[in-house]
Amino acid sequence: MVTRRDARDASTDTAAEAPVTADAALTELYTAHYRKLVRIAAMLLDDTGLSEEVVQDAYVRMHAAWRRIREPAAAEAYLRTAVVNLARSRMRRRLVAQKHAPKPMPDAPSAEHGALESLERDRVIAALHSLPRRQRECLVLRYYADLSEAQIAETMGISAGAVKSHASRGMAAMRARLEEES
Amino acid sequence: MSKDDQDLEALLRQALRERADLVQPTGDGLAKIQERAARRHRRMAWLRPSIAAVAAALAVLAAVGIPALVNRSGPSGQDAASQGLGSHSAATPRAKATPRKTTPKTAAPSPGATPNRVQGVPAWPYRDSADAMASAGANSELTDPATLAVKFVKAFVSLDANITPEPAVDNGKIATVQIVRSDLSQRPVCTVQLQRISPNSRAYVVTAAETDKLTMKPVEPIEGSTSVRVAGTVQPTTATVNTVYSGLLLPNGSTNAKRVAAQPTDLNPQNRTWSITVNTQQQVTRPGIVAAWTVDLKGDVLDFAAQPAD
Repeated sequence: MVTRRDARDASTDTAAEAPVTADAALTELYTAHYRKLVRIAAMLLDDTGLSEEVVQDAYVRMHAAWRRIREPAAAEAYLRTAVVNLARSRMRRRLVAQKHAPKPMPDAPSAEHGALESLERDRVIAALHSLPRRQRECLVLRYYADLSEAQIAETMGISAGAVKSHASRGMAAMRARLEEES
Repeated sequence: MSKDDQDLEALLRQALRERADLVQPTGDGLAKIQERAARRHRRMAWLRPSIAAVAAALAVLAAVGIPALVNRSGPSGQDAASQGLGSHSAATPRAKATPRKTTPKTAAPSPGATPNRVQGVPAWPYRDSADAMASAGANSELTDPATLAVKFVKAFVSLDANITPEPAVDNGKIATVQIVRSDLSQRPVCTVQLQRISPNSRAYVVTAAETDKLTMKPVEPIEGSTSVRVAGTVQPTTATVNTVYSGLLLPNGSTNAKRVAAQPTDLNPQNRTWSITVNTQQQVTRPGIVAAWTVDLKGDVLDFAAQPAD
């Protein structure tokens, strides 16, 4: 006798076995992750337009590599890694052209906009942006993307121990900078 | 963890959330991605038959050439006699190298020969795929995707072009290299796509170059003709552009290429469509690569796109 639950499980299995086309996966993954990835990139680059370009580039690459990826979970990890790598590449280019200062995000609040709390958070973001690249990436992936140490390690292509070390040093440097300013 | 640490973590988490909430992606992201993915797919399609042909040629080489080479490098006297090959002493070296008596009748390529059946596809900077297989590694510059990508763009626009490559993103089969201007603007010029000619080869060939701001329609087959018509669109945001150049790169040997350029015969100011007829001065006998590019007032390249024309 096939229970309703069995039938549901069977239909789920069938759906899971059906090959997902690259186009369908693209739409699904766009809906699920695009906004979040743009925001992660924006936290790394401090430039919304550039962040969208980086994330779109990552999706195009994911689409091209879909035959290898196949799994939505793997695709999410692939996209995250691609976004971090592409953002890194953009950052490197920006550092080479030292005068090319990062454009502030167009919808960021002005300094006189807010209360003390808002100013304090602005100082925290400024301190974050002053950190070395790896420390900054670790902190954004940990405290904004809410990734585990293992996921951060996979995304950044480093060991879990290195993640711990970068995160700890990053927090210490941020604290030192905030104390110095106050 | 101290309370101070926890406070700072909470503050950082909150600051990041607040800041991220201000970032609102524009709504056309999916359409842009789909358009770029489709364009990339179309451009890669042309290389697939040639890769299959190269794979087939490699399979033949592996099946016939490698055993032949192994046998040739081994002791020839007693082993050959023990395998009954002594009676074929008057045969060709290929027959000697073949381990079985029945195989000399088959038309296997001689060991070490380049696969000559892979012809007729653009494989810049080589004459064709067979040439790429044979020449791979001969010039270390040509095994670096980033260097090759810049060389490719410069072959069209100018050897003095003020451009530089970003580090290549390479998955072992396909590499993409973003080319940017070397000036302070660091403006992206294009993304060059390259493909490794085979998994075991160090040779890359350029398959296409693209940018969102300058698009090209598929080019009609050009073999046998003396001119090629190229058309596309320029993004309206590129307001300063009033000229589009187009060039045709015709493989003419491993290192030399014939380059011809032309200005547009039509540039529609309303929808920024353009078309150019490139006169090749001679009948085209090989597949080539067609490119289009725009320049700023100083003559430096702004945007660049290229695709194969076979």
